[in-house]
Amino acid sequence: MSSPLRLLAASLALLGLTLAGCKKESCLGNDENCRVVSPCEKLSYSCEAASGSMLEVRTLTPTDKRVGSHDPVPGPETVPGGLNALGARGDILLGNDRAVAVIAGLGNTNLLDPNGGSLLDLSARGKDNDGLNQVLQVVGILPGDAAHYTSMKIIDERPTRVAVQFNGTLDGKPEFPIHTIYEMRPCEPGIRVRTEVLNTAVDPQLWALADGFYWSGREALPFTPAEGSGYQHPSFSLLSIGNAFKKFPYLTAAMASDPASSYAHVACGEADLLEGFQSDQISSSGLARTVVQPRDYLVFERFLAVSERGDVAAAADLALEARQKLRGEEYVTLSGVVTRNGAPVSTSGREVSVLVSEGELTTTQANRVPWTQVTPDKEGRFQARVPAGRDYVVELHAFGRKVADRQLDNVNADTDLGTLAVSSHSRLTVNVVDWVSNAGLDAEVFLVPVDDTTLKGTEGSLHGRFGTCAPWLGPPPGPSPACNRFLVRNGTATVDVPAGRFYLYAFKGPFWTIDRKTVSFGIEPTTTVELALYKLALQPLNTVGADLHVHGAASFDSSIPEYDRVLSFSATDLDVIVSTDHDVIYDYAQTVRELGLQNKMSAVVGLETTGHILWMKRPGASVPLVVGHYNFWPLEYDPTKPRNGAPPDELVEPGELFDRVKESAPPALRDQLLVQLNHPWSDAEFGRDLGYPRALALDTTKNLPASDDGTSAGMYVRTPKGGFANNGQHAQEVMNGTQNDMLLPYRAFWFYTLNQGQFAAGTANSDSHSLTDNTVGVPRNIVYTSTRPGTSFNTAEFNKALKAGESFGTNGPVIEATVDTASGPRRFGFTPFAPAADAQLRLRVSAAPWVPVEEVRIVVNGNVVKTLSGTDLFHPEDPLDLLSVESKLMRYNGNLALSELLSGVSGDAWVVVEAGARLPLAADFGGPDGKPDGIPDTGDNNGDGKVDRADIAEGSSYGPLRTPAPPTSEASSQFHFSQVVTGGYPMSFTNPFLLDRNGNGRFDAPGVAAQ
Amino acid sequence: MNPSRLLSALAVLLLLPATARAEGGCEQWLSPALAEGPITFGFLSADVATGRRACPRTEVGFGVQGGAIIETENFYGSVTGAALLSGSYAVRPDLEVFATLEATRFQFVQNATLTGTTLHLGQLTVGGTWVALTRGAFVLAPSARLQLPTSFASPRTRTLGAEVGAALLYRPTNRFEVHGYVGLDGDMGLGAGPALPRAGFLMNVGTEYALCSGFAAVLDANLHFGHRAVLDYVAPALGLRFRAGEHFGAELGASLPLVGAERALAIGGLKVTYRM
Repeated sequence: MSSPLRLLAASLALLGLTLAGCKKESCLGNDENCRVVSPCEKLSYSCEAASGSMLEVRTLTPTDKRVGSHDPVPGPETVPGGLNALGARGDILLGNDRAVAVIAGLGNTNLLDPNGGSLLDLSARGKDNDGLNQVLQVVGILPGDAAHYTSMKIIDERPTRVAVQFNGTLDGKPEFPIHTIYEMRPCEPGIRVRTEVLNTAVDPQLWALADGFYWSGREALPFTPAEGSGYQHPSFSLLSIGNAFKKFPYLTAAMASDPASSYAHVACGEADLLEGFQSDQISSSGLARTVVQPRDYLVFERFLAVSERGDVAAAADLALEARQKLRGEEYVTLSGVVTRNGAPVSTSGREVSVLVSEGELTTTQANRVPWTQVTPDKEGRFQARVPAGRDYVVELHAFGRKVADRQLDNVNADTDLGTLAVSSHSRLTVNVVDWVSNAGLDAEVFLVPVDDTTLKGTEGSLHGRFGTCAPWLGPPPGPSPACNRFLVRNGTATVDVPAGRFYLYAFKGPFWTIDRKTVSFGIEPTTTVELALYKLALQPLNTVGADLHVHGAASFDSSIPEYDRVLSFSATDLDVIVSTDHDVIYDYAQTVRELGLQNKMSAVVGLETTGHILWMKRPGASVPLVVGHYNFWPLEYDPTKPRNGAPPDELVEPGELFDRVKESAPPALRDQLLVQLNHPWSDAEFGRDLGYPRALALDTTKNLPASDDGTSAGMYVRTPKGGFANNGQHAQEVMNGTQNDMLLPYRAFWFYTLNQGQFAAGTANSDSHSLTDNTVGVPRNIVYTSTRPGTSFNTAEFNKALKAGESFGTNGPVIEATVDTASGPRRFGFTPFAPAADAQLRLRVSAAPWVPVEEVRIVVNGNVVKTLSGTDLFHPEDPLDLLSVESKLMRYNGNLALSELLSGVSGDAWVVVEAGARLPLAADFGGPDGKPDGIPDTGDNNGDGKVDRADIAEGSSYGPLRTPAPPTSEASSQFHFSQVVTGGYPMSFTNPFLLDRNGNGRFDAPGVAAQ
Repeated sequence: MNPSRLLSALAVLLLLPATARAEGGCEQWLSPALAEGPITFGFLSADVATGRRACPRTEVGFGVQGGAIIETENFYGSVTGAALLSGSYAVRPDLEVFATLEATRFQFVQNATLTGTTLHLGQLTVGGTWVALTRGAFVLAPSARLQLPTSFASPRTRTLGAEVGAALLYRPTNRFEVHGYVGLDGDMGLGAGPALPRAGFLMNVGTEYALCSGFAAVLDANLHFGHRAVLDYVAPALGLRFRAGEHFGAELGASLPLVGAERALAIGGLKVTYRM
């Protein structure tokens, strides 16, 4: 070998020896006890000397209580609160003089976080305005792309900095170490974060190292300055998500509720721009997608700031300030005043908004770059920062619509825009009273455009998000007013409304009359409207009306303030509300008391477990799944515990989950526990099934096996841990949501389980998350029980009745039914009985005049055997007439011979009574597993009066099922109903009568052959 | 394996003087332009951990090689392709120096539905083969190879590697040979990240038969240990070799891992050479 080659080889060998022995910076060498370097080296805020004394870092203990958590055990509230506050014992609190953060402690799992280490809360100091569900470090969209931290170290270097470092690997992948440090320094409006992830495997990886923001809808909205973006983001599915990635200088997200908050996310390391995808559900914001070679690594440094206002500008101002410090980018401030009717705006301001975009008036929206959005203060003033030296278009929006715009050229200095004028509006005051006593009522008022001109002239949205409303009075997920409705407390409410001609509907649940007035706005600055309601004698004696599925701000997908939430219970005249927030236990009792409702309303403490982390494999499928959603109550609320005391609910089959929840309850409550299967056949959201039967793709044309036979059906019936079986729920939803759009699949599945001898009580719940997605209490359960709502309410008695099937579900019609036996009439329920030889089904169906009842159906073993309609039923002429209204409630009162109903049916039989509108046409073309499964999946989508393959959406093998369009003509019997029961149609159903016809003392289930 | 020891040994080996001359087996081959020895396409970068032929030759070559990992159950996919420039120079009849450069290396990687691609200069390997022993039809030739940190795949991390091995040739006729190779390979990372030294051991045995002066078929069996797991792969390889004229040759080859931890479904390549 020649000398040069020898020299080269020897030099390389020596170089390798040298480099291999070098100590690695930060944790890039994945050394044990390594320390991640401080993030955002170039970021510097000037500080008062005393600011350092406000730094704090500590692990939360059982004595730490969140502000506003209504801990039953009194004590000082030491942890910031807010709509999404989750901080609990074992979590880590970091704080400075401007912000306070809570990071999940090791083992404190929340939502998508496998083992702690995610950012749970970030509030402005003293504002208790946490609006974050969760921010976690991810490298992709799969469960295994999230960090699973296994060790943690608190770093206390006061007065300079406080920090906590988490070390671990990507979840289930030890070959990918990951380290994250959260750090706070004095006088900074947020938290610094640095994450390092290493590829120690031998294959390249595709990573998008980012912060995953879990908004989950109805919460903060992501806003990114990029061409055609702002609030607008490309829609995507799991398969097309790669196309939704965009680059942007910062991400902001603002929570349009109370307390308000907004966040700014800025890269502060080597990366200049962030990259990610945005949606109402989830955002990713981080490094560009990178092919990471073996032994390579990624480092992501960012600053997450929090403000105390609920508009984009509050966060964007912080983002631009940070970018000025980091990269020297200059910004200018735009300011002005918004007036209405010649005076500064003076309401909550949510209905007025100023959007600033880079571009010119001639530039299309798709080519503008929205930089900020600002909501004027109570004096109508606004100011917002934008990058210097650019052309801008300033748009003024009111009631969800653009009302003015203006162009600013080459803005190089702070600029006063002067006055922006909003078009005329009216201030509306409504008084809603009891028609008999004239006492002010808690109620809900809906505004409905009278004509097409008003509809088109008032339809608006929150800059294109959260759907459209006419009129748009406020953000649909937020407090009252929301969308086209508002709450009335003790008979009075005042809101601002746009010009137009509207119906005003007053509503107080299905068992009251509704009142309607027609009003024109825009002529007079103020208008007062009187509305009166009358409680009808509809709800049977010895019953309570209960909504068993209700969400509030404690849920990750709800931002309705607690006051509005509880007031909405009263506004629809509910007796019992089970709080079933996602993944956290919650208790409304304190607010019920604060509103003085404790003597007529009972709030039961419950939980909705919600599968987030994909893990479950069903036979024959490779895509991992979750087990869906289940409700549990009663439980104990302890806000000092993670998830307020709820047990971890990920990575377990339903039966084990039921066991866990039962075990987590105090001994006195365990025997009362009621488990409800929610929306059993709901469509999956973002790859997460919402119902276990649908996740398993059960084939309801086949009988369930007696035990696990290795099939999906076997998974459904098996007992994973020796306690509950996976199908051990006591109740399952048949009606879910005010729209009730999935009634037919839920009903079909319930009928299937009844045919299998699985007696879970059918329930009807709103699943309400706000004032607009569903109206709380619509539908509801009417439960036959001796306990009364109020302070003496007995949950054990209530649950006992529910478990026994002694209830019916309704959004209006009331069904009272008995069957004759030798010992007298028997109501429906899960105790089998032998009917008398000449037994009659004695039936009374009643409803408020505005609730049309088109059909009464008798269902035997899943088949409709008799339908009463037309002249069989009474139909009130004027749904709004109060005269002799009590005499117009009964729609059917008669007897049907059981022998006639059971003609052709051999053996034992179950009977369910339904009443309401005609059911929409539907057929079964496929299902999750691709073949007909006995569950309706496709509606008459082309409106030709039949359901065939022409109704199937293009590119799909089945579906969809759509809610019937609401009537537009007042001539329709459902016109008034659809104005206050948005998107719904009348429906009620009883639980089954179990007829032991062969008298053997038990009910012998008919199986699928019966249908 | 301790990387320090490996690199020290490599340095010593490369500094040894030549002691033998090539004759016998290496001299009798049907056509000079028809490729010899093990199939040159491997599972790693450039020609790392591939069997090296025993006989020194002077040639230049251009080729492409690639492989694919498709694991739907893990939501992972990777397709790698590289354009290779290679050359060898017979310094003496018993000594060859050689080099292979991934002139461009393309990677497509998929994580669930997210995808990414890179196109960059890849690794350069340089090495030498020394014919240490020739007895009739038998040839024994130790070789050493360095993997130089030339890849631009990452601005943060480079890979340095080395390989020592020995090629064995038994060529009883001018159209049939049995070849083999055993080699110890190792590499490590350079940069701020972890070095993560890795070592592997390759065993190759195969046979080549020239049906005529213009065509030969080669069948190899490769076993590799220690890179991913104790057993990386047991992979048969099939190659078809062609000659065109006095100087041009071509090789089309592929290998399929049957057993072991290797994730690639298969690798393959095409190489055109000009032998001088």
